[in-house]
Amino acid sequence: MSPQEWLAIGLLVGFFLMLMAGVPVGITLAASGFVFGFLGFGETLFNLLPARIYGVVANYQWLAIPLFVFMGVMLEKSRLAEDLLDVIGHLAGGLRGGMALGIIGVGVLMGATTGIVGATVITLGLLTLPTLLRRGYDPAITCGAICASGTLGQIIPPSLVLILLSDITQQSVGTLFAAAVLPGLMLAALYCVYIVIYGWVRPNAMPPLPQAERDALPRAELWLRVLKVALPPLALVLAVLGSIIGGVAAPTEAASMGALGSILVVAVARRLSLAVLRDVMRTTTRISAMVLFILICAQVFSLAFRGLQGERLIEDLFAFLPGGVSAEIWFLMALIFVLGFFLEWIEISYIAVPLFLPIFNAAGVDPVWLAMLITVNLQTSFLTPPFGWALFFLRGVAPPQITTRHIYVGIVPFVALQVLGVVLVFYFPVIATWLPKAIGW
Amino acid sequence: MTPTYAAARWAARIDRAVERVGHAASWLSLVIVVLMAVNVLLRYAFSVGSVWSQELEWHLLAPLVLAGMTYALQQGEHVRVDVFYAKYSARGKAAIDLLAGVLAVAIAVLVIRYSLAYVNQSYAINEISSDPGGLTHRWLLKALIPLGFTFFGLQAAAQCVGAAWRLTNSPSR
Repeated sequence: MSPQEWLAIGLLVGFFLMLMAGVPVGITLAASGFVFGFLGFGETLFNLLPARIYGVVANYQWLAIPLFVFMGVMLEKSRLAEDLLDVIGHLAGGLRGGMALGIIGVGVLMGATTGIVGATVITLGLLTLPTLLRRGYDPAITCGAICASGTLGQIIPPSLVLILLSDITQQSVGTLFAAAVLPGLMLAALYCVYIVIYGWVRPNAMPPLPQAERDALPRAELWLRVLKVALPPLALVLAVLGSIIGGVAAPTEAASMGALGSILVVAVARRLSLAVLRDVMRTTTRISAMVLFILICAQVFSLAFRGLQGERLIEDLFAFLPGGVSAEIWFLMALIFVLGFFLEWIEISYIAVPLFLPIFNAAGVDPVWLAMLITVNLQTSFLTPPFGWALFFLRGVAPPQITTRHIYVGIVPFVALQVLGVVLVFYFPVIATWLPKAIGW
Repeated sequence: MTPTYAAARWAARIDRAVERVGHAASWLSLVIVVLMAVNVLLRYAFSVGSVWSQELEWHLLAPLVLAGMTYALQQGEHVRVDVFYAKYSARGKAAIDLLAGVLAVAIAVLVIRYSLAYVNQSYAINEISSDPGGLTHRWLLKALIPLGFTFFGLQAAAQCVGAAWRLTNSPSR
């Protein structure tokens, strides 16, 4: 191996060690990039850096990040989720696990409006966990359902993960949004099937709402409430996604309409105030800047890694693998799954994915399909202990009788369902590729 | 006044300034939402639009991000892998924070160093938007990069002071 290849390995190892020690991700990326870039090349390599940074901070496409974050944080203030869940519990009637299905439904709707995993898990955890426990639900399955449906936001468009992946894979945001609709709904459906079966096998784990309480609410009034509660978020989702997928507005423009719509929804719910607005703007600024700071620092890392010909290193690694493209895809999937135990989606999508992408591009793999396999797989990274963010978030807001063990035990079947999801998308690529083709992207 | 005391006061002052700038910059998020929504609505409803107002959209992203990243640093928002970090003693945490702070200052210095020439070049040729009717004074936008990282470096230095104090003043276990 050449000295440069050793430096490229040093870059990866140094990065990983600092990351594990607890240095913030962005600083780790930039620091390891600078050190190894200098060792390999000296100063000349980084003359390109300002132009790359400018390309991140003055980029029309990245405007979608603050806009979607703004929309999500704002909608969180309208307490939509709370009302939705109650209505779904009534709608489910005597079905066991009805309120758990409600969590999944709320997860899908919130995922389609916000795309911020942390916000969804926290909201679901705060609003639904105490209610379900009071209703006699089994803590483990409830925690599992909350974490799993809270993370649906990262695959159901609009989502930050898809926006970043569209940049990495050089696809349009609209294509990936369209491609992710069916896999996202498929995951939600898998969760629902599992919950219904579980409720059937273990009836006491998920009792329905008591008959008396259901009788107290007349049918007509229930449907009126359904309309009142579900209409604003549904309209917002349809407006945003419809205009993107239908090609009326670019994703960034649709995001601005969604953000404006979210202000209206909160205003109509009479929860808009200067304090709320200030809080939303500050949270939006912190989250968006945090994500874009990582992108800025990733520029340093990628300059150094490319300069040191790290890509050839990865190609050599793949040359050792037997079995052609399929085996290589499974290798990447296994790697992302394992990395998901330790790293978060931002790190995985900006480090692991770009390393392997040139190989799959050269092999003629459909980038949209590959992006969907990655996205479904990435969702496990939110859920697998010890670093699953969704688990931390839920832990932070769960009542004291919930133990970490409940959460870990509850999440296992849902992680298995996600692996099943990856397998399904792999053997039936049409799940990912049909919708973008059908609407002509 | 001891040097330690002076450093602590200086750090606290930077910390407050950063918070204030962050709060001010956060209004940009609302401005972006409204500006973009108005641009879209005007275009679809009345077919009215201008290049400069569309360019202004992403011109506002740069100050939001470059001021926001320092605000996020001050608020402890930047993500890290905390599975080991959470178990460190107070001193261990302080040591990692100090390392992260020193690295952040170094990164800021390097980015400023490289970007000054970049800004100068833009200023020298009086760079403007390549689209007719676009915004001028492109160097001002580019100058936000070294400016933003100066700010970032100062906040990181202030946090180094805090971390160093915790490192020397907390019990080892």
